[in-house]
Amino acid sequence: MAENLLEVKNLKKYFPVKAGVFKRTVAHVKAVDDISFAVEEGETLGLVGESGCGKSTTGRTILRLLEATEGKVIFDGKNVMDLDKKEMRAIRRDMQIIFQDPYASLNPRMTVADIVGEPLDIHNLAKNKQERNEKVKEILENVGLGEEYMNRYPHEFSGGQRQRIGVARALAVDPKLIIADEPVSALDVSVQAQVVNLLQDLQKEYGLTYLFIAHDLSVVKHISDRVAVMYLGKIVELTDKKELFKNPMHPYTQSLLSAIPEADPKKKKDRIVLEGDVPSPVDPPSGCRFHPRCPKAFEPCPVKEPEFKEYGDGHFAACHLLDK
Amino acid sequence: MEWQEVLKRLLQNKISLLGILIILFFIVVAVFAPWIAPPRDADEPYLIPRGGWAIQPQPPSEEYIFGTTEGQYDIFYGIVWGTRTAFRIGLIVVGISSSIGIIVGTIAAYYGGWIDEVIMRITDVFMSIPFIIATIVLVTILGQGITNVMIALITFSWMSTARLMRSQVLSVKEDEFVQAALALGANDFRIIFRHIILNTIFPVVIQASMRMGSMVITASTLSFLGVGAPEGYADWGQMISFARNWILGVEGDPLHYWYTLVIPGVAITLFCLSWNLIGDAFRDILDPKLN
Amino acid sequence: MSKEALVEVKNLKTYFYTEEGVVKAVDGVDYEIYPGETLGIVGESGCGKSVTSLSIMRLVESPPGRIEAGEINFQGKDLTKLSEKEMRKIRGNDISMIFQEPMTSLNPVYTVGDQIMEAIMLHKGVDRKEARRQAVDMLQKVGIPLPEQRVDEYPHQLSGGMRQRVMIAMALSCDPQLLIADEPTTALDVTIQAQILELMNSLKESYGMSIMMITHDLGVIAEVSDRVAVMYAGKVVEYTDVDTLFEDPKHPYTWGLMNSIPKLDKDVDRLEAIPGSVPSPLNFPEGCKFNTRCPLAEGKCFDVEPPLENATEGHKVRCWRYKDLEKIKERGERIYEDRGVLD
Repeated sequence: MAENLLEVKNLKKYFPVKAGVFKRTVAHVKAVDDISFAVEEGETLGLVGESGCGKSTTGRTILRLLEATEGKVIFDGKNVMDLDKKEMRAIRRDMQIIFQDPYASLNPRMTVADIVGEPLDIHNLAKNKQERNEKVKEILENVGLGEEYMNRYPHEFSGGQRQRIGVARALAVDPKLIIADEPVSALDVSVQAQVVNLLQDLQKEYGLTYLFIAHDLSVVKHISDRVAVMYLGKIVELTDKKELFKNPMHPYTQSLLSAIPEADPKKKKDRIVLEGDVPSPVDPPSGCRFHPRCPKAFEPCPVKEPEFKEYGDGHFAACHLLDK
Repeated sequence: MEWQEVLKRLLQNKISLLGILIILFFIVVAVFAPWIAPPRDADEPYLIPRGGWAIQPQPPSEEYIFGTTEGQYDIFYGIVWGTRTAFRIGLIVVGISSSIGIIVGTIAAYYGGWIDEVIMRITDVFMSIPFIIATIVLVTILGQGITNVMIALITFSWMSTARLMRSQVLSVKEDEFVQAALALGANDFRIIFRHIILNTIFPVVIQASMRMGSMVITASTLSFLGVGAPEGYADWGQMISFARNWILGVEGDPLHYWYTLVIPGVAITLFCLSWNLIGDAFRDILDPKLN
Repeated sequence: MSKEALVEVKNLKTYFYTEEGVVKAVDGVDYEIYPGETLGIVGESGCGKSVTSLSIMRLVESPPGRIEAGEINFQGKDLTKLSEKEMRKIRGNDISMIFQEPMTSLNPVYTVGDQIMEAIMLHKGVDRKEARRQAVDMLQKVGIPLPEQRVDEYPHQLSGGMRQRVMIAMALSCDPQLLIADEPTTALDVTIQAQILELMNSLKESYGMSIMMITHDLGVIAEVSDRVAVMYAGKVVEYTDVDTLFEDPKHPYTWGLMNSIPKLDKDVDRLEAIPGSVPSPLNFPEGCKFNTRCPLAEGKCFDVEPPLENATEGHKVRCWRYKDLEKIKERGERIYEDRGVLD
């Protein structure tokens, strides 16, 4: 088994809800509430869940774009949460992020060469202008963009091309870990596949480790080695992807899988349609957070929070049913 | 949109082209003032030469082509050299107060928390004082003179830029490209200058252009009220204040002394109008992008 | 099909006149919608799928937009020729529409009840009390719990899924014959999407109306449609019933779309990605509009636009080389070859 490159332990991120004249904190949005997982070197861990489940917050808290409320993030043997500002800036070379929106994530007033060259400037990776140019050219080639694009501005590109530029920027510092935050969900269907293929190629070439955050289970299934399913700030299930799709243990995973409309009209699924909406993370339900919508909830669910534990060969889940 | 593109569109737009032409005209007048209206005393070119000491204004004549004000100040000379005064006041006041506003607003929005609270409360205090009264009081304390007028105007006019900048930075700060720069390990300095200011500056430029005119009007108001430029100084506001006693004309001919009021009035109006035209056009050009 | 079509769109062209040039958003589109069926319209951003629906509703903003040519026949009337006043009688009454973002399509300062009642009073001419009773009834029908309470709530008090239900209640309050749904579930989570799709399917049956479902998601299409029109660059490129389309896609673009999305029940190492991106509508290529991205494009494809013609009975395709695609498919090969950028 490979080494763990990233270990997240009991991570919590609460956002204060302020109200009144004196901006007193009246409640907390428990966006991420005590989650733990590890990502092995060279693997892709998929993090999947619906909007508001805390998956993006998890990604940003790991990178300390948001400060965690509690918990540890151990990257390459160091607890990222203990690093000071300078050490933090240095470690950012090894952990990068690709954003969802290829329009908002590129500075509209910088040329492609400057966007991709910026990480080189920050970490002094190029001795002079010429070397910088050479490197930018090479990185752009690696993501499938020619050097003729170097002096153009982001608005001259299509969504897919912009996402390639975003990938190039992340790649420029030669990172070990890339957190991909919904990297294809804003793209046209026909372009999504290009970016997915590119990410896979780059992983093979550079031995990258991915934390792949998405709401689209079919994309996650395609690209991941293991998958973690989040619901309302908690991880409810985590296992090898084949196992997850063959043998989903948590009722939420089961209904999530059955809810995906499949591109095959002949297949009429036995669908578990969940009742109601995702509850607010400000005041999450007691006990198991899924119990108000769970078709299989029974006595202990509203009162006791189920433990997140292993049920055979790396298959983790948090559900009282499994202990019955 | 890049600067060249903005400039190209400014020149294509008829309204802003008109504004640009008027300003160009004023620039030419200001630059060539020593040739257009040679000063009598080269050491003190801003002192308007007098054609005598008589109280009653004199109509345009061969020697004084725009006529003279009360006290026989040469209107033509005052208008020409007053152009320089107008530019000086406009550029310095708007330049410095906008810079203060940009810095203050950016710091407040970028760092947030108590820094933001403190800075914005101070801004509120400044904004709560009526602008004209505040400047009159400050100039009175500091003493008459163009420099003191500019100090007073700067002191009480940076707040709107600060507020505008703050709201701009607050929204851009959350943009993903700023997050991306943070994730790359960029320091605050780089993020503020390379990523934030470049993407927030256009509305401030529009506002600054609009304020060019209004600052010159306010300076003129102060001169008109007698707390601005010292007597005899080439300043459009002062020229109008010379007209104060003659606005009503003589009995049966209310327009008898029209030149004392209309000529400096037209100069001020054109000057303000041109900056407003450019500001408006700027906004129209940039708006689709701001949406 | 021998039934008479409810809506018949013939050679519809909707252009936008912009500063940069003429955008031919919809450029000669034909399709029919039969009573009681769901027509799916699938395509990527900028293919003109939304503009076709706005053209039917005559909601294309003008200027810059204009219906250039074509007919939209609905109940013996050509909608393109009606006056604005006549059109208002049809909108919301005979034809209703729901949109992608339910928050922006509801007015935040009125209660949901007021908004539903407005449509009912306008088109049915009933009094307030009766309208309110019908509004509560509608909310009940779209599965909103406690409708008597919800009728007095404001849009921001409802979740995204509930708002979309309210939109559907509003759209159906006057028993329309056609419901146009423009990406109604794109902004929703999958579990909520499943609820809404189920609701639409059951309402379609109980109301006997037709639905025009516009989406980019082939999964949604497979789920709800009876027949499908695939659009690319302002044109319909393939048009047939849903089973045939998924079993035997004949246009290389349709094939590419289907194989570029990963499937839950089938593992592939690499997705078949369509190269390049959708061409700008200001700058469509000569000949077949797909030729810039099509691996089969050759000679004729670059010069002459192929017509939309019957490949088999009831299966129309706009491609010169669909027979060649057939052969490749028979050999079990991939059409979009791997062009890894690192090779």
